[in-house]
Amino acid sequence: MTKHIEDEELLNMLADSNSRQYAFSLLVNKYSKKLYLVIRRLVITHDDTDDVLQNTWLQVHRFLEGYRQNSSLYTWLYRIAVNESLAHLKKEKRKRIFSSKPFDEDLKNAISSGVDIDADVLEKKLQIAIISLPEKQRAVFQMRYFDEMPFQQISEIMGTSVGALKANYHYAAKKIEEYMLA
Amino acid sequence: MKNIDNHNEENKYLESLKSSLKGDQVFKVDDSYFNTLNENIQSRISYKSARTKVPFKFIWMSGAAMASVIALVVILWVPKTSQIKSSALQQPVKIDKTMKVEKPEIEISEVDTDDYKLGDEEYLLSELNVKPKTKKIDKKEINKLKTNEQSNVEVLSSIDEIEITKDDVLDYFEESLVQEEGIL
Repeated sequence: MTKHIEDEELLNMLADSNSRQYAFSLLVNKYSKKLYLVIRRLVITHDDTDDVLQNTWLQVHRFLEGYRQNSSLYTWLYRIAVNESLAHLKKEKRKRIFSSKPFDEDLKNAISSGVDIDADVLEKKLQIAIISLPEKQRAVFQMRYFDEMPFQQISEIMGTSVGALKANYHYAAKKIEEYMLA
Repeated sequence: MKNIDNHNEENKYLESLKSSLKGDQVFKVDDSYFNTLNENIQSRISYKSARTKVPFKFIWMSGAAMASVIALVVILWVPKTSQIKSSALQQPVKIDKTMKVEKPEIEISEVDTDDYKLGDEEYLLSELNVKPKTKKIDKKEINKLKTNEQSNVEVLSSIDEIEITKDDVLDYFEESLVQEEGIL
């Protein structure tokens, strides 16, 4: 697999202090689009996605030396992106704990308004249904439904057992279907 | 209990929906965003690494600055304030000489000597309103005061500090009566 070799090359370059900066720039170019979509699906708005994506890359830069290669590079990057997104959602929710308008309502409005979103009625409805899920369940659903990721890989990203993830996905899908068919 | 592995069969509607979805294309993003993203990240990384280096330097520098300011304050300000205090104490108190001081009017009731009899100590003491004190004074001290050329006021003021007995007062009055009025 060429991609895997490329990752290996990148990792070798990152290990070398002379080529580290250049290699990191290549890494950012290679995975930014993919990670952008992972984050965007969770935080919805472009501005928030931009913040979270930049923070994700800062975290990657910070912990790159600690990357043990137990999982693939993309899985590791994906995990950081999901964790950063969930942390962002948690922070925003906490900020508006005393607000009359819950944070989830803002996300639903962002989808309904259609700013930076090119979706028909059905897709908007699906996105709103996904937002109604708890954050972790939402992340699991996105990974399985849109990225068609194997449960084993989701387990590596989320740090949850495969069995628990399957149950999580099952309930999430059931809730969404109920919402869509209502 | 349903087998959760068969979720694809269960969620047939969602699976059928997939084909009609745009997927990630729903989220619009300009390609130019990714061109600037790398620059932004690089600048944030360099800023962050610069910021993490700053604290030690900053702490040392600010600490040294604070210490030198405190030292300057101690050296320059504290001696000045003590100087001001001491010089203020050394300054003589100015008295306005034009100020008039009224003499206090003191009424001295005269002792009625008509009823006085020699040895009538109690009468004299009651007239003078002198309370007898317990501690005895050395007679030599009294004699010294008597022979002293100091004015009466000075003598009295010095006596003020000495405790006087009943006998001392009587002796003093007897002698003064003899000397001044020649009663005896």
